[in-house]
Parts: sequence; structure tokens; C-alpha cells
Amino acid sequence: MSTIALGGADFLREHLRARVTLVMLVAIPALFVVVASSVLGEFAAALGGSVSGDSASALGAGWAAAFLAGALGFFQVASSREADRRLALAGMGATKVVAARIAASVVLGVLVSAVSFLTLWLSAGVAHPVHTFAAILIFALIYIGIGTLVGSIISGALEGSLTVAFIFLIDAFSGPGMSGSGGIAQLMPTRRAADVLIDAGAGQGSPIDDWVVVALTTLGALLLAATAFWLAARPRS
Amino acid sequence: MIGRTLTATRMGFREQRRRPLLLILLVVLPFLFISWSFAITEATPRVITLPGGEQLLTTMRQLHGAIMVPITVGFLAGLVGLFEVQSALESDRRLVLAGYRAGETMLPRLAVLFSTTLVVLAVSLAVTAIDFTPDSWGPFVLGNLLAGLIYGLIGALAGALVGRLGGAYLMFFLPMIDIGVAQNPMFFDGDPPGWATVLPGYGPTRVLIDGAFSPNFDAVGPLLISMLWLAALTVAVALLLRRALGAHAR
Repeated sequence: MSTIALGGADFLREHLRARVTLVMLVAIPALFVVVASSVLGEFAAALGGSVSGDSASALGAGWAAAFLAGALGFFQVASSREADRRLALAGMGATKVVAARIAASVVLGVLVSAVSFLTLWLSAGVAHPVHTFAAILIFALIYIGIGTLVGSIISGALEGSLTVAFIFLIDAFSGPGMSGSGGIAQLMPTRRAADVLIDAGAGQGSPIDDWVVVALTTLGALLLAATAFWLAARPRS
Repeated sequence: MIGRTLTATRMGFREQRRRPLLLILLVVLPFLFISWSFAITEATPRVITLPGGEQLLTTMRQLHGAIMVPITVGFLAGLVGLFEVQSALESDRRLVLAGYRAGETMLPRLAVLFSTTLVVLAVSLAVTAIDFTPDSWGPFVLGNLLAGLIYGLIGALAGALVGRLGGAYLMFFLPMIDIGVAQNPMFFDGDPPGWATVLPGYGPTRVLIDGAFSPNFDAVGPLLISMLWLAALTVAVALLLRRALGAHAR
């Protein structure tokens, strides 16, 4: 256990060793939430969507956390491939490397979610804080899974970044309250999380069905992330 | 000197050709982003203010289609600039140690950035032309080109100043916050708010909005602002890269 905790702490330190990266992780979602909260309702209306007011602001916080977490997940895998394999071979073992990577990713996901949530709270107010924070964190965790999956398939930093951005934009624009309600919109990864976030933004709870789907999606995303990290760290003959 | 620069430029383009996924993404992403924006946006009426002060009634669909061009070009060029400079900082130092001058390694990188911006711009304009015809193509193309070049250089600057990870976080959001929200005439009563005028996307966006919706050119001020941004960023990137590459060689 302590090996995993130590490894996780080291991975976190590795990610945040440049002070400016930490500044970006805090400043960018805050700035995005403040700027986007004033216009997302208008944007949704232009797309024929129904989300507005505090729900639109809450959705912006989820997007900020998701986009950053996707990039974070991608770069965790893309930059760690060689190092993780050596760590596993040096005695840590692939399973513990994976557990430490997941722990570090989740902590970073909590960080960007907390920043987005606090900014939302300060700039627009939050009617249902627990549900809102949970939904924003779920956005981040789902995108950590997506980012790591992309990182395990695509090694180029530019190509991977563009792919994460592509998935994010399709997901965000076709989500509930925006342009989509049927067809491909039903298959988008953060669809139910967005439903929960929109409800929470409006001060309402969500049906238990939504929470079950959201929990399963998050679990699936973290399993994807674990698989991607394991593929990077696994021993090869 | 010219021979070595040409060789490095040729190698730079060959490196891009060997990345088929990148080429596909640089063509497919503008196509999808822009055509989809036209498809999903309602044709609700919208009054905007043009750079000459004239008010004009258009639709959200037209505006969204027009503004997606600089968002897409700025976003893609920014990321290309970021990773080109990161690559330069990793490999061009060796060239400098081997006898190249810093300037000889920078020109090929800027040539790749400029060419990539042109490719993305050409695809974006071709897709836009399917659903939208600007009143004046010249300023529309010029504004979008300026947006791409300015954001390409900002990406390069981010790559040199804040590193790969911090730069990626920055370039994921900055074009969206600046061009996508602050300069976007879909919001803020159709005219950018006062604070938006200090952002790098202000000049290019006003130039292209003028071209998109007016047959006359009334955006001389925003054009000059854009040129100033472009010149300042070019100097900043050249100085930073020169120092980064040259310092290593000493």
C-alpha cells in the first residue's frame, strides 16, 4: 500500500514539478468558468437547446474539468510509457504502477474539479453543492479514461491532443441542453453526467437511474485508464 | 547558410509527411467542426455591430459558421506552434551544437508552422464556402489568416515559456476563451466587450467579421492592431528561441 502511495505521490510531483503547470491547472478552469458562465445559455439557445441560467453555468464548469482532465490523462500515458515499464521491471510491478498512476490521476481530477466547482460557486452560486461537485468530478474522471485511452493508442503529442479535443467538442456540442437529444447524442460519454449537472445547477436532485448510469460510466472510464496504464507498464518478453 | 536552411526546411516538411494521422486530423477536424456548426445552429435572427459602427441583422447560424473558422484555425495553429517549438527545443539544440546557427534552425520551424496554418485555413474556408459566402472574401481570408498566425506564434511562445504540459493546457482554452467567447458576436449584444479588445483575437476577428458581413472595408484599426500583435509575437518567439538554442550551444 505504501509503495502505491509513494508511487502516486511521485507521479503527482512529476506532473506538477513545473510550478507553471500547477498555475495553469488552477487558473485555466477558473477563467473558463467565469467567462463561459455568462454566455453558455445564449449559446445553448442558438443550438436549439434548453439549458440556461445556473444550469448552463454548471455545465461550463463540467466542461472545463473534463477538457483539462482529458489532456491530463493523455499526457500521463504519453509521457510515462518508458518510465513505467522500467519501474515495473525494477521491482514495483505493473499492478502497483497502475494503481499509483490511477491514484495520481484521480487526485489531479479532484484538483481541477475543485477549482471549477469553487469558481462556479463564487461566480454564479451553486444551488445543490454536493450533486454539483460530484457531477463535475464525474466529468473529469470520465475524461481521464478517454485521455488515457487516446494516449495508449496515439503516441504523438499533437495528434493525441487533437484527438482528445475532437472527442470533447463532439461530446460537449451534442450533449443535453445543447444540440442533441437523440441519435448519436445518446451515445456520448458524459450525457448522463450532464443531465445530473444540469439538474444540480437548477437546484434539483436526479433520478436514481441517472446516478447508476453515471457510476457505471465512471467505473468503465477508470477501468479503461487502468488498462491503458497497464498496457504501458506490462512486462514484455 | 541558405543551403543548410533549405535542407532543414526540407527535413521539417518530410517529418510532417511521415505523420499521416496528423495530416488526416488537420483536414478532418476543420471539416467536421465547421460543417457541424452550420448544421446544428438555429437560424435565429441576431443584430451585430460591424467595425464601422453599422448595425446589421443576420442569423446565429451564419455567425456560428463564420466564427468557427478562426476558432478552428487558431486552435489548430496554436497546438502546432506549441509542439513545433517543443520539438525544436529538443532536437534543434543538437543542430546548433553541430554548427547550425540558431536562426537557421528557426526558419524551417516557422515555415512548417506557416504552411500548416495555410493548410488548415484552406480546408476551413472551403468547408465554410459550402454554407456561407462572405460579402468580401479578401478581409475574411485575411482576418482568418491573421488569427491562425497570431495563435500559431502564441503556441510557439507557450512552448518556449511554459513547457509542453502547461502550454497544452493553455492552448486548449485560450483560443476558445478569446475568439470563441470574448470576440464572438453571437454573445455580448453582438459587439465584443471592452476587456476583449486587449486580447490577441480582437483585431483578426473584427477584420473577418467586417469581411463576412460588409462589402466595404471599415476595419483598418483592427487590422493595424493585428499587425502589431503579429510583429510583436514574431520578435518575441525569435528572441526566445534564439536564446534557448544559442545558450545551449555556448
